[in-house]
Amino acid sequence: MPSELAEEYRITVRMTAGPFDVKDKAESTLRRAELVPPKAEKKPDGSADQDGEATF
Amino acid sequence: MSRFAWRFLPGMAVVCGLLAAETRAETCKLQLKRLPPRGEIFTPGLLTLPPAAPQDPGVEYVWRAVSPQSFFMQIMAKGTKNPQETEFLKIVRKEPKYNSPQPIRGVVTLGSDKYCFALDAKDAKAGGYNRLYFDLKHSGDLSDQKPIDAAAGDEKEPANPTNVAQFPRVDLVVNADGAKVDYSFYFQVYWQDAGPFKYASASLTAAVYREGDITLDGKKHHLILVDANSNGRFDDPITPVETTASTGGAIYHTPGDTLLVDPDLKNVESVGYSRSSTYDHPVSKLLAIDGRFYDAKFTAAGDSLTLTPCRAPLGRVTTPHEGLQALLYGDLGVLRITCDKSQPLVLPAGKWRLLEYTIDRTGWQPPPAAAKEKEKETARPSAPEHSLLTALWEAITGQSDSAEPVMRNGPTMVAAAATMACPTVQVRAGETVTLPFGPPYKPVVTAFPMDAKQARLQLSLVGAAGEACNNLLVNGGRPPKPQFTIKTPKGEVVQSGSFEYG
Repeated sequence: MPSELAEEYRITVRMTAGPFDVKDKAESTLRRAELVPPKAEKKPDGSADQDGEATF
Repeated sequence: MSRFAWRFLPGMAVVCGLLAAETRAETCKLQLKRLPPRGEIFTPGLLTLPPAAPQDPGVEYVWRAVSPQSFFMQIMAKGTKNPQETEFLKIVRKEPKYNSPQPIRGVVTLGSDKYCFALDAKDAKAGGYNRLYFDLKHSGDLSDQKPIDAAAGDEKEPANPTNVAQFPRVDLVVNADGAKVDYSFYFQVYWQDAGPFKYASASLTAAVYREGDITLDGKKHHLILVDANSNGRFDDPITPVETTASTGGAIYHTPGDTLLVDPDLKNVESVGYSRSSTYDHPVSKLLAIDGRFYDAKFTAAGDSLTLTPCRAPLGRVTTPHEGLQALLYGDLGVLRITCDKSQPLVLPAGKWRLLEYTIDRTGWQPPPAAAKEKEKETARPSAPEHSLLTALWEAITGQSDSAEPVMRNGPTMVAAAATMACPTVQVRAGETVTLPFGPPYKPVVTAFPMDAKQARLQLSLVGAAGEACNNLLVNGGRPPKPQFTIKTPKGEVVQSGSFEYG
């Protein structure tokens, strides 16, 4: 992982929620954590699991 | 329509206050009603609704409104002291000879008193916890109690290592602030007595409610009072609990009791998915009925309710969000309000804070197909339908047309809970203030480092006043998964993907 990526990342989220207005392209910043792209395992249907979770 | 009856035109607010001030206090008696004895119905992992409910829709209402007292207990090895039994040992004077080598002992509060109970096996060889000793006489002597046995066939499900026993309805007399009150409850227990961690999870659910009528301003209202937290008394208000920012800043509330005012007994389904119907009022020292506000006095026994017109000056609140129903609290009490954006809602003057809300937009339809296609074009790389690029996009994002909300007749709603970031709403007499809650929502991502090279991302939706969304449905389903992209300050994409609901 390139060292220059270790300090700060910008996370952009896009979502739609029916009639409820959600700010598009909301951004958060990630610091003090290094990321590597997770090795997504292919499912039989060809799709892949992604890292991350949402709480509702 | 009665559900919006306490919306008034602004000019009527003062008139309303004057009329209320001229009305005298009314007291009504509420009669005790018991839910039916439990039938021999067994549903693994679920407390079953007793039979005989269909002919009494009130039973269904009560059943939906009530929550159990729950107990989680570790099953200790024989001869090992269980620290969870400390309170039990303070109360019990004498115990029966148990069949089980590892009986489960616990304490429950009903009314003003604590009662000890023990779970045992009917048969020593078969084991399990299908026998209940409950200190019905409140003497501390469990050996003097007739054991209550689960109905045959209820306690074992061979295919499942988790076992369940449901006991018949238990009737007793409890002491509620000095008054002797008839009471009833259901008791059930799940246990896991295999594997490295053995435990039991028991619950006690109220099987009794109060019912009566009260006449206010010449109009009769039907009341059902529910011991919604199953603790043997009927006067428990919701109590907000404010936490500090260091512990998350959430505002939650302890469970309280519930007063149903004029429930539509012919339409039980109208209780709804959110359980926040317009006739479902939290027990509080302030009640709103038909647009009037009353100081309410409940008794612990639930046998009477006195309503005195509230003399607080009135103001108004408004919201731009259709279908907003909120639970507010302040010095005057806790109120459930239902708003629409067409006209202000009358509210007693004072400082009010949000506890939670729902915005119900059931019936919402997505934009017409043409507009939807246009949205897709701006959101996706331009590509013909069913092309290789489309398939690749769907493989990468995990999102396809079929993942988008399916047109159903289900609810469309968003729910949110307050945090300490939510401002106090100051309602002033004769003035109108806008409630600051609701959309637009801001997605906020929090990263939790897992190790030196990976982090776990969590997405939350934060409302305009800092409230945290805790439910979101579009036509009965979840909206498309939120997409994320992680970039370096130079704009290089490190990772992209979608969040999972859960």
